[in-house]
Amino acid sequence: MIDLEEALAPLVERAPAPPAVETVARRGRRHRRRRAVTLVAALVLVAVAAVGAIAAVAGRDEPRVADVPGAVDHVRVTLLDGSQLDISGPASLGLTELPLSFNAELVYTDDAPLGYNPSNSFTVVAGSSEIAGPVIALYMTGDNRHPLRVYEVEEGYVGVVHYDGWSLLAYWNARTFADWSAFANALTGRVGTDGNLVVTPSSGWNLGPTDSPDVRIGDYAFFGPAHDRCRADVLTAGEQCNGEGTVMYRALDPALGDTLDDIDVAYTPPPDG
Amino acid sequence: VDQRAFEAWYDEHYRRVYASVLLVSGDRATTADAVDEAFARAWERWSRVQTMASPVGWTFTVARNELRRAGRRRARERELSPPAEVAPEIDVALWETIRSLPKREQELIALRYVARLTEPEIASTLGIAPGTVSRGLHDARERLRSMLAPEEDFA
Repeated sequence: MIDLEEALAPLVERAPAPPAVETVARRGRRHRRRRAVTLVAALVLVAVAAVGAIAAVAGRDEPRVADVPGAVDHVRVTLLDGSQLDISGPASLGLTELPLSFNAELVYTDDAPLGYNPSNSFTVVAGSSEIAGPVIALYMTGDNRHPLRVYEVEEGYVGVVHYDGWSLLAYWNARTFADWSAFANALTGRVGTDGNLVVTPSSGWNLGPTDSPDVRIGDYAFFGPAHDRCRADVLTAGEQCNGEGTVMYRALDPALGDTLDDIDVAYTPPPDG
Repeated sequence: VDQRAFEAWYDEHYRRVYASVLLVSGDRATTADAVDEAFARAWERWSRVQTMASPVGWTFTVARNELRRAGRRRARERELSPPAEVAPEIDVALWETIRSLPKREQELIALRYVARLTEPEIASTLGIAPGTVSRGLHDARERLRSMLAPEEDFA
């Protein structure tokens, strides 16, 4: 039996000695000053906006429109099951400009002949994701309109389905033709008139959450009610829940942890749920 | 900042965090910079960090994010990534096999066997379910076993 702790211990033993703590403190102080400068800059911007607003009100008899930047951004996100999150936060977080991605999983729920329930997690990103590498398999998805293309890449295999304005990506470690075909059959995607992609599983399959967040906006991760992450016994430091206790959110970059207090989230269940 | 508490914690954990990040990054120069930056941020927010479930896990995550940011910066500047440096401190085959694992499994191995975090602490650090940590560690050990010594067990 190989003891990994013992085998890897030399990595720790021969790691460089920690630099003098004063070096770390100096760097930390620099960060603190930078944050203070950013805060002052943000306050100045708010003050400028307020002065602009007052000027606009004072001069409303005049035929002009003052363009005052909003202090709060609001983003409505439709999850893959059709439920919605209304997320708001200070404009300084730039929520409306950060990249969006969604995660979900298709799980086979009928009696499985193989003795287990196959499942495939996938990610949906805005835009058209182009993969470099040869296409080694192609399957039509359940809606009979959008093909699943499987590429061989360095880390294994990635399947991609392109929808109007969205790309759906699934990853596999191994060459599993049966899984690719089953996944394609199980998948029906449709872009609604609102531009959102909604995924509907074929009969015998369920759409569910993965261990990953339902939606990511930049470095913010949001976990919907299906994760059941708002219970006191599972909630950990650095995680926050909305007032309804339905959505847990956390910052993937710990440096953003302080900004969670400024974010509000409201959840609306899917229309048929 | 409670300087004395920070200093004691810093002295105790620096090497372990450095070694965990090195196992994931494979590169000494970027690791040193990312780890120093992470500890500076821990100093800056020490009153909060010291109350967390795993300050070491938090610092590891900040360093890992720093590495990613540095990687993106290098890509933008069209620099070539430096070749991964072999760590001569441990068995080369073990090092290379761990480096060939998927990133998530590398992180699990680094946090469990180098940083010596518990599975619940790892779950909290990576934002995943404790069951996923157990499964991931099991899969990683299985993969190491099959690649390194099919007849051996890994603990």
